Amino acid sequence: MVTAACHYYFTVYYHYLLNLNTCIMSLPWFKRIGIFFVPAALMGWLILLASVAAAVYVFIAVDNLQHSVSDALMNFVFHLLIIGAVYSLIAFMTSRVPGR
Amino acid sequence: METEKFEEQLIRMSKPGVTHLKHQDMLAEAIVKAKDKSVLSGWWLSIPLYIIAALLMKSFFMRSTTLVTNMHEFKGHDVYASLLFFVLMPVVFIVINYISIRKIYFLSGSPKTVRFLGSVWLQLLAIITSLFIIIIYSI
Repeated sequence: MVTAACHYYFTVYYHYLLNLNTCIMSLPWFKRIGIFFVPAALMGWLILLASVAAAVYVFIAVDNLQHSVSDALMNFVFHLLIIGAVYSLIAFMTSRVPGR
Repeated sequence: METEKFEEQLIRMSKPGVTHLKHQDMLAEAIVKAKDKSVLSGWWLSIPLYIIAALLMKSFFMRSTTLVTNMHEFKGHDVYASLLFFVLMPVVFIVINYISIRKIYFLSGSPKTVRFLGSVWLQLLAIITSLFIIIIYSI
């Protein structure tokens, strides 16, 4: 009885997770507006948040190493461009439904 | 008798009205994809352009150096990064944008007008920028 209940519970839970996963991972995650890729799904927003967090972390790290504002900004812009390029690559690859 | 029926059937059978051509959709999709690719190219090509601008500023403020000497110094200091940003990436984007232009050209019915160049100017700009970066690296 308990085994059957457990089996039923895990089966339902597994299907719930599977559906949730399919729902979250469904493309497209981004849409392009001008030269920017804007999030169009939850995963897109998560990637954007991660990029912003990485940019803030890099800024703090660069600011601690440099002695002047101009040095910090020049180095930060370079890192920001790399973060933006990686973000745009991910967004480009996930902004279309495969096979369409 | 049967022949008459068949003729009547043929008259009733009309060609289905094609209001929307398939290749119009393909062309529209190709243009949107090409714009996506040119935006991606822009983001990635901004990195070597920024490095060139930084080296140019360095040569401006340090009178004893030039852009060429600074570029040689950069090439010697960061061999793999310079190869990636100044050779590999521009070549990849030249190929990608060239393929996009060819596809649009083919789907548009091979037009020989200046308007076509106007519709693919972003891709052309990406190719020209990539060539500029490779030339700056190779001098």
